[in-house]
Amino acid sequence: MATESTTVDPIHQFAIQPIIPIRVGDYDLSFTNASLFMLATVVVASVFLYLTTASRGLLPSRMQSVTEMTYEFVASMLRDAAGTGGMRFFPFVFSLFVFVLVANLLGMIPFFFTVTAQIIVTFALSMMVILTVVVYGFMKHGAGFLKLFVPEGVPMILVPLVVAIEIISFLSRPVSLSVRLFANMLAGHITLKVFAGFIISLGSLGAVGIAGAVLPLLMVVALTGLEFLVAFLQAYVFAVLTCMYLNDALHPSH
Amino acid sequence: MSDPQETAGKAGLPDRQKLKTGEGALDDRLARLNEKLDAKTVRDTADGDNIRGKSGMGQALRLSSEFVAAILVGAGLGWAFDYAFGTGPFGMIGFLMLGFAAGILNIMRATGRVSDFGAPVQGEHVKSDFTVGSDDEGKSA
Repeated sequence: MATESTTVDPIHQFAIQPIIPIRVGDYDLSFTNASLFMLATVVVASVFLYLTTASRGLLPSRMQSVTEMTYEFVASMLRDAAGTGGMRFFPFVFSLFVFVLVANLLGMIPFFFTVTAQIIVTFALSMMVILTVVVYGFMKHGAGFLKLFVPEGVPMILVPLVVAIEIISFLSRPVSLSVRLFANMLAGHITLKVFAGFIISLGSLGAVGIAGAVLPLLMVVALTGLEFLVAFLQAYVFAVLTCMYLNDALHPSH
Repeated sequence: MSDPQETAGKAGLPDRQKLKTGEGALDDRLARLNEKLDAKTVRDTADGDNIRGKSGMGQALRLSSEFVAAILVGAGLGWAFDYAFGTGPFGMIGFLMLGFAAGILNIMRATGRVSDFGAPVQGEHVKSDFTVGSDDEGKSA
């Protein structure tokens, strides 16, 4: 995480280090820095939401309106994508959105660990979404949920092929959902680190180097802004796609 | 505190009376406010949709991840199929090609060139008046 010498390892920030080693049988269940920051994400989000809504002002304070706007934002997103019937999933979608957003933003603080740059974390989140879709879809519609894989108006001969393609397309959803979030956060943080490394290595070259180091410094400033945008955007995209997938569970045959 | 209020009240007396007598005027103003708010909401949501369109990098990452994911899933399924049935490389080859097709389908869906899952292949997007959908609405209402 820190820069030990002038050589910078841009990947080092993603290393998982056990803080409290725990072993259960053959399994390593250590409390790691990833666990710590996931816990921090949940605590920060809960405390923020609790404190800002504690006063329950009729005229919201600034912080209360931030919370209310987040609520409205997610609610309208879900209503647009999945209809009013989708609102039963509101707690789920809201939690996902806030968790991803807060985890992304916490990762922007220097020396902090970025939880969402771990593929297993994002994959677990997206599997949660897809399992919800599958379980709820079958619960609600039974075998009718399988209509999702059979588009109307396809010639009978082509049906097996089309169904195979549709199933692969469906299975690729959790993969693309998790890879997108993970890749965005990973790539962004590596880029930041690499450009920050340029400043240090150029700066050690004397006066000319220091003058040249202004360029990567400007780049790092710009990239930091971009990363904040990406942090919001990816949380938004994750939530929007969750809503769209939930819509499939609610209405398998449009 | 009380002084300016009183003067304001006196000065605004004719106005207030007008408002009190003509409830139609108030309704008019409310209607106009509603119109403005609606217009603003529409604009806001349009902006929200544009977020993805504006950042080309976001779009590129989205589409490439959709495409690669399908191929990976196809390859994984093929490998598992071969592993289970011992059918040599043919399961892998077949499923990889299916995965490729699914990847193309994903991209076309993400860019809106093909209708969504389960929708009719051609024709308009039929919003579900299907029993399932209306059932839902009834329950939540």
